[in-house]
Amino acid sequence: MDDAGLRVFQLRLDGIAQMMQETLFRCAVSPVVREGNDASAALFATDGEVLALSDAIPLLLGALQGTVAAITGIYPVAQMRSGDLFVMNDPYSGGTHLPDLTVVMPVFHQGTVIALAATILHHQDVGGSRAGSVPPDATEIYQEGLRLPPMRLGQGGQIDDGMRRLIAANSRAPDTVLGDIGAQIAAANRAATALGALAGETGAQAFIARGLACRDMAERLIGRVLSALPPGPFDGLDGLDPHPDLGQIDIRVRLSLEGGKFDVDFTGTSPQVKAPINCVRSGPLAAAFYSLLSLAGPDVARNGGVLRALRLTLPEACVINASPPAAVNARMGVVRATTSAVLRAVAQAAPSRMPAANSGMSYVLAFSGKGADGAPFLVTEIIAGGAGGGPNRHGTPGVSTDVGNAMNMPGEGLEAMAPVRLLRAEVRAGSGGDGLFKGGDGITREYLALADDIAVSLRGDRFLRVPEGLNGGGAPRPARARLIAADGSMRALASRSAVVLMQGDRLLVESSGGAGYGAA
Amino acid sequence: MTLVAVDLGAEYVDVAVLSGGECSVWKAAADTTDPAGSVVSAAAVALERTGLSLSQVAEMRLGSTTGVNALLRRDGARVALITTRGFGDVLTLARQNRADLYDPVARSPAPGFLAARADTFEIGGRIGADGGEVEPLERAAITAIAEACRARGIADIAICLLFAHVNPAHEVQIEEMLHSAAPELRMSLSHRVDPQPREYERTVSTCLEAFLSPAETRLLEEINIGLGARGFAGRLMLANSRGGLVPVDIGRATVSRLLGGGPAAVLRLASAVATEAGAGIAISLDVGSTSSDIGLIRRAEPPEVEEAVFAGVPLRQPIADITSVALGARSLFDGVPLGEATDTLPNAARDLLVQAIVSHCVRRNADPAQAALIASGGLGPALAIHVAGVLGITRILLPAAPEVAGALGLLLSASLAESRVSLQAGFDVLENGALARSCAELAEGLPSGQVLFFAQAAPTANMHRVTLGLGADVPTATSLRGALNDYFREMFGIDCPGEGYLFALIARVKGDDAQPLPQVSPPPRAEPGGVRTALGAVPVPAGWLVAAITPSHLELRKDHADG
Repeated sequence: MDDAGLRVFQLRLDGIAQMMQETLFRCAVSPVVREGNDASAALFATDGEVLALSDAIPLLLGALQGTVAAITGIYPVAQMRSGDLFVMNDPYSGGTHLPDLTVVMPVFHQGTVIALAATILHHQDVGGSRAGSVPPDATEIYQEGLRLPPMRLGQGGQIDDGMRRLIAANSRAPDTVLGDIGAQIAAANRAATALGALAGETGAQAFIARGLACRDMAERLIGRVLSALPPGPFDGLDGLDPHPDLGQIDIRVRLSLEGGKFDVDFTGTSPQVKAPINCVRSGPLAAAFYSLLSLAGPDVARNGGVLRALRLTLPEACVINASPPAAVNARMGVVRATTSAVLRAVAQAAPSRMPAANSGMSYVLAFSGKGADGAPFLVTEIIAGGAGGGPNRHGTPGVSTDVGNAMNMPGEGLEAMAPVRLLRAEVRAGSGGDGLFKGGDGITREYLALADDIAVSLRGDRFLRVPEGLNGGGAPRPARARLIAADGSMRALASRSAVVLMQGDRLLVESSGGAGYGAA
Repeated sequence: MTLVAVDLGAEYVDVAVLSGGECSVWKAAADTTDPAGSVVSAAAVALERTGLSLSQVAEMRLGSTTGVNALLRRDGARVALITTRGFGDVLTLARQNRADLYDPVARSPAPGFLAARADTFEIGGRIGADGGEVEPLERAAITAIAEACRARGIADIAICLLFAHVNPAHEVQIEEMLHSAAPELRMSLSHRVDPQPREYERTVSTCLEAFLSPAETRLLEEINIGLGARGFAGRLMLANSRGGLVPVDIGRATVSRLLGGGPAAVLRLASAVATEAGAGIAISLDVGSTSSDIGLIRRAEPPEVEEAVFAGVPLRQPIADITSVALGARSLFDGVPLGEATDTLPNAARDLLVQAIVSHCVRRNADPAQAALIASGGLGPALAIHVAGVLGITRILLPAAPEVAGALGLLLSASLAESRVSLQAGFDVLENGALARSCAELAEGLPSGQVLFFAQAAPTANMHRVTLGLGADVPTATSLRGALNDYFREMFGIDCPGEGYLFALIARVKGDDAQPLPQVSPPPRAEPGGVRTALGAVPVPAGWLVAAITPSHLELRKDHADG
């Protein structure tokens, strides 16, 4: 088959992955997925390489590779049967953090396994010391919830009763979690139907061969793109807000494009810490994969062929390659900082294409408690910062950037689920860095508590350390969060906070802007 | 009975006249400064050619591309948006995701052109999630808004307040007060345009209505007057986004639901041609003068979606499943006189069109190379041969008069009457008696014919809604539960993940006024170098054969004997 034919074949696989993603979004029970789209879908070849990605959240897409490898390492594809379902969430086997459950189902055509349908979804609660399974005070993974190594979830397309009971017994929101696993099974079912139709046109063996040819083609193309760039090495540095107990946390990157490879060396990155802000290998993998795909441009198919060009060098027991039993639930900040550091290095390799640094942060904000009817509620939302300015336009305000792509929580969504009123959702004017091309502004959201005892969990970053502008552009204003009590007293909140709101209290959350580009 | 179907495009008016079983067609250049006059005169001329006049016409069906073109050109009314205090950035912030995941420069996909931030007014007052008034409307602000609009020369107002879909009281108060302060203002209210939760999406729907409304309503008004002046006394029906026909007074009330009515009619014709020719999967490609429309056909009934991003705007209304691209004969054949020299088609433009076709098909899990291509529009047939070559398509179907596909498609459309009642209740509290009463009330307002019921429902109140077809029987709580579970089983292979929640019931009556695929007179006939159609010629270049000519369609096939 010629390259044009392969491109259409790849696009059809991409389309099926996207159909899975839309299924997750439409069938999900929990607010953070059905409003925020905090989930991702992909198709894998039987050899474990990525066949196709949905347009979802790169942070999660990058992690699917490792989780699928872990599952097939224990349950070989050759022994899988139609309707088998597998699950895992163990960060130390390839996962991200415990709320992200990966579900994998093999897809058969006329008795031959042709692909694996995989989804990863942020579940509302998988136990641990705090509702929502993101305890800010965790120091070991054992405090973070139910840890599932690669396991059989079910067969015949159904969850086994034993697994159902196990998961239900370990969650504060069993119906929601099981409902969302249902959405993951639904996505796999739709993939199976669509892939069956496609393989019906081609035949199973040609399907497998074309998938491989698409990856080989992507490998050739990415090699060509990378070889055309200066080889480097290029250095990047970013990090988290300094913390009195944890000290300075730096992510150091040395990127080399020598020989058409994308070789990222993180030597010099800070060691892991006794706080839940570490991440495991899936974090830097997602950061590097995203950066590589954005450098590749639209003509290179987004499949495992691209990943063949990727090399990661990670120090052991560092903050982005933590060793067990480090806690990892609040990993978002460090993965964002890792991506920012890699993108700084990429910007030196391809300066004409890359803007200044984006905010490098997003908030994860959760409200929980008991409603007036006594039923518990838990609503999580993700708040973006601003995009970086340049290279030839102002940065977009309030938009998910790089490895993030979550959607916001509508006021009408939040207020229907929690006794909270969203008083405003605005562009945070002036928060983007100055420059010839200004950084995009961040977002201001202000909430009013309508009842007592509403627990708030806030995770953010960039309260202190913000990125510099590019080519003379200015730095953005840092993020901040404040609690304004009903009596008018105000208290500044730390970037990772757990507070309780009483009726009449207001919570004011402001995200950081993007950096500016060029002297104003 | 004489039926006239008119499809108004950017530069041409296409007409089909059906009288005494004979179908004749006509195409006239549109006067872009007077599209209404062009519609009336083109219809009159087409009728005269068959010895008829407008006074003898029982029904005129009108489809139009004007709304689509206004969107593609970003050329509509200047709209002022009135929104809840604290939410003035709703169109800017959109849903926070970006247009292209891997573009290093993050761009918002939001259609910010619908209403400028500077023309957005925030107003105090709050309705809560349960519909109760939390804070009274800040009525004092309304005079200032009216004055500001007047000073800026803005006459079109979109009003979208939080939770107006649950309780519209504040929107209605604004409407009343603005109307007394400035009677010239035209207002679109969110709870009427798109009564569904999620403020960004509802704001887009409302602004879109305000953006399109003045030009569309003026056009319809002028057509109505022009037709009357020429003695037309029949009924005027408009094609809506689904390709159904609605009476002009209903269509005019919410013009955004007419968006893509012309292209939807083309898709209907293409579906009928595909069915008649026995094509399994077909791609409809209609090339207009400034835009082209692409659809994928698998069944006799043209495909429809519940929500779509159409011409860059997220729509929450049923619409024919079409991709519309701002690439028409004019841009494709830049500088080349129309109807000539199709070999000079610029490759870049052709490739953009091919890309749009591929992307439309793969998103629907179809391989374009396996499909037949159904081409229409003045230059569609000539262009189809180029496009088919790139896509590896070996079979091209053309309607008998490809130049006027929209007008022919309108003949195939049926009138569609609909009424809706918002119920907002969990399945567990639904009473069968109350459901029956709601259905009876819904059916009362509809014309005679078989009433079919539909439910807008979701597993829980906050999940995404789906539309369930319930058939002709009055639904009960049990049948609703069954229909929702069946939907999840069939679509997703899982049981419904909730107890069920009913947003609204809908009753529809489809008229029996759809005409069969017309046989055009004079029928197409072979001539040297191609096929002569009623209004022009289809050149058939070397490498292609005319495989069939019937009075309703023709078929070209790749000649495999040719190298």
